[in-house]
Amino acid sequence: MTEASIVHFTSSSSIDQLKIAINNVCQETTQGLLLLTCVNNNYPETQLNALLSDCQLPICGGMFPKIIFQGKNYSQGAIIVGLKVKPEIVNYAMLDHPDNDINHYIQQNSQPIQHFKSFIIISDALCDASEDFIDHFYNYMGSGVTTIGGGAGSLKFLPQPVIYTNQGIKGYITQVIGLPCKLINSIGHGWDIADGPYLVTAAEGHYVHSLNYQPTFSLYKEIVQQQITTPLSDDFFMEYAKRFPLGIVSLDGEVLVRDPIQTDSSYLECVGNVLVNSMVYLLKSDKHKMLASSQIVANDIALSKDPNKTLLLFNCISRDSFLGAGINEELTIIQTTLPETPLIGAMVLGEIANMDNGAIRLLNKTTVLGAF
Amino acid sequence: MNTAMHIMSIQHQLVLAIGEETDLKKMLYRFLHLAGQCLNATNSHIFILQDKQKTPVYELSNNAKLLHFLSFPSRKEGADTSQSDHLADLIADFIANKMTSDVLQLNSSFYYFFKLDDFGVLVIERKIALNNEIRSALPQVINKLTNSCIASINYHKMVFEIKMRKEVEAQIRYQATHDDLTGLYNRMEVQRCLTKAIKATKTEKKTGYVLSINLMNFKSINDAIGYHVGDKVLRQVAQRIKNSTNIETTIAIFNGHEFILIIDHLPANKMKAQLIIGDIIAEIIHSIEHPFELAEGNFSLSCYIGYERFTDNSKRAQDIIKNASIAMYEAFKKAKDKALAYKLIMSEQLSQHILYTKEIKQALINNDFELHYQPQFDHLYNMIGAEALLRWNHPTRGYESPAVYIPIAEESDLIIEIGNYVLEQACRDIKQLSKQSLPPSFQKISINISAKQLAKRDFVTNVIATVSRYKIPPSSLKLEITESIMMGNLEQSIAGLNTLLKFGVTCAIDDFGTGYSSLAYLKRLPASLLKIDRSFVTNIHLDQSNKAIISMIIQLAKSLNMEVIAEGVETESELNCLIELGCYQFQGYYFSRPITFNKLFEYSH
Repeated sequence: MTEASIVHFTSSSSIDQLKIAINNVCQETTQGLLLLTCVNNNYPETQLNALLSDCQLPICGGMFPKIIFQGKNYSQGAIIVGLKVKPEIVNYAMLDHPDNDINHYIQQNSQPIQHFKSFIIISDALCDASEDFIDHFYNYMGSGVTTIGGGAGSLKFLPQPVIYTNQGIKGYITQVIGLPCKLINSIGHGWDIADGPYLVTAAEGHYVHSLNYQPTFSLYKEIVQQQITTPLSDDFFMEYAKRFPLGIVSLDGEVLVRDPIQTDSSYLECVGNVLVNSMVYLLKSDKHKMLASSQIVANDIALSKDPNKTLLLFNCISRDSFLGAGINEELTIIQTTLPETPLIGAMVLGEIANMDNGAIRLLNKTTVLGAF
Repeated sequence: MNTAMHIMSIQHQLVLAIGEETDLKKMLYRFLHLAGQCLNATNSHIFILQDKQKTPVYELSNNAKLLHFLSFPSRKEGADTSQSDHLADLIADFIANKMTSDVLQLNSSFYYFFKLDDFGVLVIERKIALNNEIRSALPQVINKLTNSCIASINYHKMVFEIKMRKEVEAQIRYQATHDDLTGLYNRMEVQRCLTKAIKATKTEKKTGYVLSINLMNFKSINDAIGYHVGDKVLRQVAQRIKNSTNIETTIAIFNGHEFILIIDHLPANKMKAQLIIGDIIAEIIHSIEHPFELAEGNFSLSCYIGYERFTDNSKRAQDIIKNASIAMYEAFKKAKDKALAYKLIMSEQLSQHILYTKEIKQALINNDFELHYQPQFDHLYNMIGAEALLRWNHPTRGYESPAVYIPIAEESDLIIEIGNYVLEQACRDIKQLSKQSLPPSFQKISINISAKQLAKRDFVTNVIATVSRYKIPPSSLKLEITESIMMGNLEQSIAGLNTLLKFGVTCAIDDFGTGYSSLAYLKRLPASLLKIDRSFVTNIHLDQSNKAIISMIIQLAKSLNMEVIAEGVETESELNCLIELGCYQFQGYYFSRPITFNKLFEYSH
């Protein structure tokens, strides 16, 4: 049976505290270190790299805008998780590979984890190639694997190393942590269809240029306007985009949120790819729905017969900005539903988990809860 | 949800995924990947007819089998889908049912099968059943997928054929420009390379050299050990030549074992360039002379090198190569220097040589050769025989000097033909003489035999056959050989001469004292006569050292039970001196110049 991980939490941004915590965990019977820390800690890179290089245990994890510990979120601090199972960690460089090359690259580098079925994936949120990588990684590992994860980095979207490795803190990589134990997951977001569908008539990667043959921005403004009584000004986007994301609905009704994050008054850029000829919907939610979805996610895990020794949450940072102070309510709901295990996690820039059909996808505005 | 729009979206997304991609695997990967997203499929698979080389085909044949081609994702519950017997069985059942599409519910999965004409099957796995509206919209997509697969297969086939054709063309080009065995350039290609090098040399104001390198003793490796060993040696020689310099060179081989090396971009200053080329030549000679150690044994080779310099485009590539070869041939012929630079006179001599060879051939055809005879006498002035001497009565130049044309004939096989003529004519003349009543002292006619002639396997049988054909006494013919036969296959020569001796034809050793023969071998030769070279005879009465040599030769002949005859006796004083020393047979102007057969005929009577 999987033993509970050893969890140390510090709200301090000091690297010394991190060092002490790591040393403490290393003195326990642990087989790997998972580090979830806040970008705001601003650890001195040289000292941090020395600390990581000196550690004898396999190291994984990342720096995030916020971390989650026992029903609360923190903008500073660190969670040091001593894993009782031995993680197998592969760090994939995010190169701009053509399909054949990336398949070959994954095949060449995935030997250590090829027989694993449980994965935590932490990617540098600034890498556009991460989503393609996830697709190809899923193709290689196949259906029947369970995955949780999210994007590391800061809300300022500045390029910086954010992934913890035994070789130091690294950027522009995707880290896959193979766990030799059963992992269960549940995902939810609480976003419903407000309007649509709209046919994506021009798009490229994250950029949606036109919907129903109209410039995306103008149509978006028009349909958002229909949802609210206040007349929208031209600079409505920053205020309303987080309230009205786009969504792609699967054939079986599953909604994949695509969060618009910026515009040039013509296109919308989303977190994640949107395909030409796909259909998108305007989504809406409220605090009640979002908290209800978190409750369902927590219930899912609670209902599983598996012992949940470690609860790991990857929650979208945009839920924090949407819910404001209500975010701690969401976290409390999850923690209180699963009171025996301390909830740990991070507010992330894009979540990673399996959809209903088993495919590993990059998600937005979503709660991804894993237990192992 | 707007179903119609959803159907349209799915159709368009899938068709877009098929796109214009010509690579079948890439195209199907995109399609299956998108099928996962659009149709919420858990797994999708493509089976396609494949030939024995696993190349997709779309026409049914005995050699083609329907096999797994691609799945997305590639594994299911950790197992490689391409190896799944379960999936293969499902496909086989679907094909057996002869339906264009079908659905099967197994455990918690729905399997949707779609035929791609008669060459493939698409399988889509889902957790939930597809509604009928979506299902009915898929055949149009499948139709497009089928057509795109055919187009991709055709494209691949065409690309493959073009690739094969290019490979064949490249191979032909390679064969046309390279030596099969060594992979070095051949004559044509090296000429092209040299033409380029000449142009570059002129543009860059540099200089270059062409080296012609010819291996000595190489033929014996091929003959004695076999071509497979000779081939290995050639490859190693090529490598050693290449390694002889760090300067970039172009190397070629032709005529079996003649290497051509182009060295360009050398300094324009002749002295500097000559120094560099001298070092390279020395290194090549040294490297080739280093024994070749092979599994079949160790082999030693040497080489001769001729070289020609080029500085501008005043000379054509083929002329430069030819000149280097001429210089190499000259080095080989003179056997003094291992390497020689080309000089114009070499070409002139060679041209004359070639012309002369042609003329000799023509003379044989025209019967322009004659045998003249120089009578031989004893101390009592009795004519004891005559030496047949070849004379070439050239139609325009008159009598040619044997000193000119015999060495040229010796270099080619013409000497054999000439030798055969001499043998034939001498026997004919002996026959003619025998019909007359010759003085009892006249015993035999001697003819000169070349080393090449003697080395011929059929030499002995040829002599016996000719003598027999003319029905002359074998003892009336004497063969004069020189010490140079010692350089050839001595054992075979001795055996042949012994056979002839048994038959009755004796032999004499000509020009004795000038060669480098071993006295031990001399004893084994079945010769009955030693001919003292004219160089010792001239003014012998005035030269004590020559007197001593001749005295020694006479003593030697006595101990070997051989007779001696002195050549080139021109004065009475020389004659008297020779008699004093114990030599009693003579040949020379003092007695008679060489004379025509008719005069000999008259003389002997």
